[in-house]
Amino acid sequence: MLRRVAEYLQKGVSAISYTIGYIGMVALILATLIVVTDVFLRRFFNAPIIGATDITSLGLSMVVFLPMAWCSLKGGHVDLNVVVNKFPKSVRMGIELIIMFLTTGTIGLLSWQLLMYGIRLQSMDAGTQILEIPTYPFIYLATLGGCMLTLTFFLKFLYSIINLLEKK
Amino acid sequence: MGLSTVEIGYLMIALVIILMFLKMPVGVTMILAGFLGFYFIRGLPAALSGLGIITWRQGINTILLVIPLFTWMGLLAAHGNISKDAFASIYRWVGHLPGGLAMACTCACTAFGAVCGNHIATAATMGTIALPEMRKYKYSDEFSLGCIAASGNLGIMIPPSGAFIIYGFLTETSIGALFIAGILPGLLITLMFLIQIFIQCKINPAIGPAGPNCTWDIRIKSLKGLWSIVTVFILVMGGIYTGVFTPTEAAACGVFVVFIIGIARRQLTWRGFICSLTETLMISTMIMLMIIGAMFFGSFSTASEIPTMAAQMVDNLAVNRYIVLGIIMIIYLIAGFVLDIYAILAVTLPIFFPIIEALGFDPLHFGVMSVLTVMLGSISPPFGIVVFALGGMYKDIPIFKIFRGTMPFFATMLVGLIIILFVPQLATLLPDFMFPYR
Repeated sequence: MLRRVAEYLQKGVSAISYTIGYIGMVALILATLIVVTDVFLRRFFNAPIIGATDITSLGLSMVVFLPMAWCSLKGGHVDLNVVVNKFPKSVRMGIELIIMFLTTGTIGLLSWQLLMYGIRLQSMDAGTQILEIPTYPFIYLATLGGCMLTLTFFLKFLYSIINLLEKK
Repeated sequence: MGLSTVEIGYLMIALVIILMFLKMPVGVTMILAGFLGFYFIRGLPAALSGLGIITWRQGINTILLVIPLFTWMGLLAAHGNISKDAFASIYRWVGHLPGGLAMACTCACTAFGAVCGNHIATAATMGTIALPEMRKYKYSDEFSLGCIAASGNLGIMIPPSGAFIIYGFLTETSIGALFIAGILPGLLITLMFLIQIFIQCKINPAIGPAGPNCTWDIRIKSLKGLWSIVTVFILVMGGIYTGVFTPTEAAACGVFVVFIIGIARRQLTWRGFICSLTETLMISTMIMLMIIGAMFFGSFSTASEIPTMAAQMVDNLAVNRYIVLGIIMIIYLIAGFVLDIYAILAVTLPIFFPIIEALGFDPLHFGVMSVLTVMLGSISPPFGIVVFALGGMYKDIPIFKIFRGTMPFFATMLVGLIIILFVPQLATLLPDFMFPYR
């Protein structure tokens, strides 16, 4: 039963993580083009793009936060398995369970605080320095990236429980 | 609880180490320990709001755009086969010498390092190009892969370097100056590798027999294989050196030019382009999570006053400052055995850098030294990350054989490190020309 729930959840989390990861990819391409265009216009026509930094910084937020869950699904986040691998299997599974629980909680807390920060900025109507683009929609996007990252760790936590129950 | 802020700081450092050893993602360990530390020192509301604010501010810090951009530039160059031509060109010049192919591999890694800021990408790319040639000319696998692993490491010393970007960001040192600081040490290590390869193959010609000789005409014509790397290097580093570009702008223009070169040479495919993007995002987000963790933990450690106290303590010690530096380098070396370079810098710099500043070492000199020391760790047993990356690619060769092959290079790099330690001008000379009042 628990395994089936985990598998369904994994399908959903993977689909959303890859989709928002692709959005991050497009954001990187656009940010690059904006910087190159800005340099070109500034050097050759003395006419830089007004607020290019505002746009690229908001683009960077999408590059940073949106593909984090994708990276986690592919096992890309750095961890140190040298010590844990030396433990007996049952101890290892227990440690993994606790660590995944703590990781899920930490990233969940971070995503929640990003959301709170976004709500605060929305109420203050805060925008970027030059173009005054509202930043809160981008913070909400970052929150989405954080939530998906939380879910990927939660999935690992679920699989740790399943493995422990099935003594795999 | 009655604990002083410094004691809480020590506890949280211990917590980071314990959680890291228990396989928690490195970035998350620092976020968790930083959060708990802030909670104990400043209370829950400050810890919670700090988490949201610091995370967001790092996520929109445009200086950090250089990380995905330089990573992308290197991966585009790898998928666009730029490294292949460089290797072929250099081989025409040195292939006739004992160990000539290995020398060509080292020089090509140095050249490719000029467009790629990642050591694993450099080693992996060069492995696919150089190893088949080396096998064709009956080079020993042990020697060949040892050479590829060690030379691939040069990718993070020769600018642009991902490690220098992170070092610069975390210590507020000029990234442009760090890039320039890496040039002479990188070239010194390259030269030392070439001499070592020559001596090794003179003593034991079977490990790297000399290849066929080429005429001068062929050699000169082969230079056209280097034009793309030279163009990108001049654009990027020349632009930063002369102040035409900021590092972020140089990186973006570098990506654009590498892309155009790849298309013009019909070497960059749609699949290669997408692969370069996905790999870039994987590497960048992995680094960014660690940077967010490092910045949050760094803020906490500043609040706990540990760096100031440690710096004062070291300042008051009646020992030679080189002994303290030596101890830090040994810690880096050991950490390099088991951890990725980005993780090591993210975890250690908030603590070590104030000490280094208090001891009066130049931040550029220390930057070069620390990156070089971690490079040593990444090719040494038991867990050298570059060796494992190559071992994963060439499963027919046992890992211990590759480690055995890297040992002479390890010794050479160690000598290079000692030279750079006592001749800091190797790291500071070029940046001093660039920024006379830095």
